[in-house]
Amino acid sequence: MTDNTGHNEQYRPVQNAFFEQFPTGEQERIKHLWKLSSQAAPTPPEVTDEETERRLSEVHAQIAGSNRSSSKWRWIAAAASIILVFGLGYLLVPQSVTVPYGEMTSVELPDGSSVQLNSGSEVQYNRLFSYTNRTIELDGEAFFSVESGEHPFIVHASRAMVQVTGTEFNVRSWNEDPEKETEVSVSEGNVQFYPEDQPEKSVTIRPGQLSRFEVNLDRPTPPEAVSVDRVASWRDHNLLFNKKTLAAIFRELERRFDTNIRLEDQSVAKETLTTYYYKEPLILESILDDICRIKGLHYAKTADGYRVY
Amino acid sequence: MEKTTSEQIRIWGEKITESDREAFDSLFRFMYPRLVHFAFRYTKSKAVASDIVQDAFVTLWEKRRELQPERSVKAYMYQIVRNRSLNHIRDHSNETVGLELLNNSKFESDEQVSVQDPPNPLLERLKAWIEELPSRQQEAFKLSRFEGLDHDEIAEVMSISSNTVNNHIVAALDALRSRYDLFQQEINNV
Repeated sequence: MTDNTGHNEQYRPVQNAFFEQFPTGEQERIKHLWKLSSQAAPTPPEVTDEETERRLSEVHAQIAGSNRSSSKWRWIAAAASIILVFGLGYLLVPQSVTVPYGEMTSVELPDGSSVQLNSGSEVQYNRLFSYTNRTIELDGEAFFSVESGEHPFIVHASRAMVQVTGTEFNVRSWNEDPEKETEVSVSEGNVQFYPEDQPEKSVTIRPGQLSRFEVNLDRPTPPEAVSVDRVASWRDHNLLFNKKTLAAIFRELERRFDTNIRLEDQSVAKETLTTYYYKEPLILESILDDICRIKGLHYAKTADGYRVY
Repeated sequence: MEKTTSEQIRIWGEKITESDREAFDSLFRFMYPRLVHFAFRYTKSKAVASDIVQDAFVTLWEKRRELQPERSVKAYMYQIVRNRSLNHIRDHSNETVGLELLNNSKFESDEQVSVQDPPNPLLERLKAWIEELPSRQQEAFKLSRFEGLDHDEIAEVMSISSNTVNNHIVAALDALRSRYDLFQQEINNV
């Protein structure tokens, strides 16, 4: 008989001697409880073979290289292991689109859906996209306009998944952010948002709502209201910071303006700010002026960017 | 069967110290699901458990040349995962309930409702009693009973002596036996 960890449950020879440590009269009861307790283990979460293989590939990636390239390596390694099974190597070579800092771009996917990418973002999908799957990996921020299709459209971003059919929504998930938070907001349609491999913990996000997930949470946060035109204000080249930490704000500014901003006073890094910039053209120094004034900080130009102190 | 598995793990362990990637992969495939189940008991979050286990394997590879051959690689992995899981609970004590904190919870076994009707009310009580054991006894007991580790392995995982492991499990069983006796009296008095 095996318990749910797959171990063979038989008395090991040492155990009879073990029970002799108890008073004779109690040994039967002890043995009974011991035997029964193998059924007392709580049901563990399911771990599929597929998940095991995927995690193994990630381990290889972590061993092999840097953080920035790991999502690429993970995809290639995962694709490589699928090749062994299907032998369709060519079809699984990943397509990847990366947007440099300071720019934005739009990509049309094979199924007619489109993805608008914010500065510094990267998406990856394979050539079978739209034929056997509609799964796309995201590191960064993108606004998706999804056409109806045969397969569920799934965005995989840093430990969370967003699943839709026919809708418009924004996903924000930067691998380089230590918080490793994924934030999803919806303009049109409904979206299922769940932690990686746990679709049973999904949260439904409706138009005008936003939800966040990071690994320490059991499931994504209950959806909160967000103004629909602000859902992806970056697309209009506006900048919206909704309760974002200074550290996150400066990182976003670094990406948008392709520069370096060093925050020297780490004690304020976790303070948050809500602010919205929309008057074109956006000038970095005006924005820094504003933020510094609100937070009582100063900034100065440096050889490769700015420092805030 | 059990012997073959332990033997197999030992062989993989040896090969890993010689940088055998296939042995590493084999060990991973065998242990990953078990270690995730194990970590889950502490972290209560599968995502966190999976991350901890994944990182532990990276550590195993990075430190493969330092592995002592007489040490069980299985116990080594359980130890790493256990310690990191406990660290995680400590660092996020508002959000998760781990073994340490269950100590303080008032657990009314009478209120416990199980999802499928248990054919065995004693089993439901037993589950509750186990959760109420003092934390070290509870941990040693669960490592033995639920994870199938032997006393030497548990000693390594918990960084205590094999004798202490034995004593913890004996004390745990003794406590369970007392609860059981009271339970029997209750049913007999009905």
